[in-house]
Amino acid sequence: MSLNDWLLALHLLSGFALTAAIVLFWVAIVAIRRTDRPEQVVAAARLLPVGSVVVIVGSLGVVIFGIWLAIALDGVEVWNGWVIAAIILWAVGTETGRRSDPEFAPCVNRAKELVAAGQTEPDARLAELARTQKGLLLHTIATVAILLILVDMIWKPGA
Amino acid sequence: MSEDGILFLHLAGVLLFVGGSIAAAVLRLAAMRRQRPSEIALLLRAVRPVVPVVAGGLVLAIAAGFWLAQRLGFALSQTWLTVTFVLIAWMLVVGAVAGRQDRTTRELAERLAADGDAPNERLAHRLRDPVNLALNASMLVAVVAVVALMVWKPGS
Repeated sequence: MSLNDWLLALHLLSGFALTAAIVLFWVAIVAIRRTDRPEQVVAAARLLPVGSVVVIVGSLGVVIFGIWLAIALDGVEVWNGWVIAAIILWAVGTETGRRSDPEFAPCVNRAKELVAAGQTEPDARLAELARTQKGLLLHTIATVAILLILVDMIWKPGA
Repeated sequence: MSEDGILFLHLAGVLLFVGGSIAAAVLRLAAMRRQRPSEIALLLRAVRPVVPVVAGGLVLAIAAGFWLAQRLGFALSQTWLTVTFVLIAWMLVVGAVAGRQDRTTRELAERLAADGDAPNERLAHRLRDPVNLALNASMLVAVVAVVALMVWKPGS
């Protein structure tokens, strides 16, 4: 069991955590978009902090162990085109994912206000806030960026 | 298809399978922390769209994995592959059993939500059923073990 094997295993496990976070965010987003009941929005929104922890662990692990692996492996350099492309895609995915979170904050805040006021009936304004197109678009871009990283890792264009 | 293409399908399947499994586990753990049946039902219902992701990922990972093993000339009788098959079979059986138990729990939560939505001892007990928790935990352990086998290929 060489160091490189460990780095690869940790790199892969981080990738799984990142994918799990993306699936989790999709579940939360779909659940929030499909309801107009404040309590259900608040319940679904409780997944977001959990997803944030998993995404931080996964995204940091992927890039740290990935770069370490690129340095450790013979024949691979950090300045190789496909490695740089992966880092750029990682940055795009991370940043768009981070920016999608605040897009749902007004919806979650309104749901919390309604629950605190004792209102549990469907709310039209809440439904409107939940269907933010910008939040959906940013999360979609983040998902596509992560998928492209996998494509880049397999085919290593330019290598 | 090139070996890179098959490897992409294999890894995409593994990512969907493992990512979906972890997401489902997190949703289940989140449901355990809730008291109101409506909130528990919402979280357990959220597992349903994840199931096709997990199942599709597993099918893709296994199919592309066999294809890749054949293309690369790995004998399917090698120890690390045999152990992997046993672990996958374990995950399939346990996934079916635990999934059925979770569906019953979700249906109970939905009935209780429609009937006053008051916290219920039986629902709480089902969510904390030690057998179900052990089965779910064993699947996560099996996933990590399969990743380790794929990386280290002991005995190859």
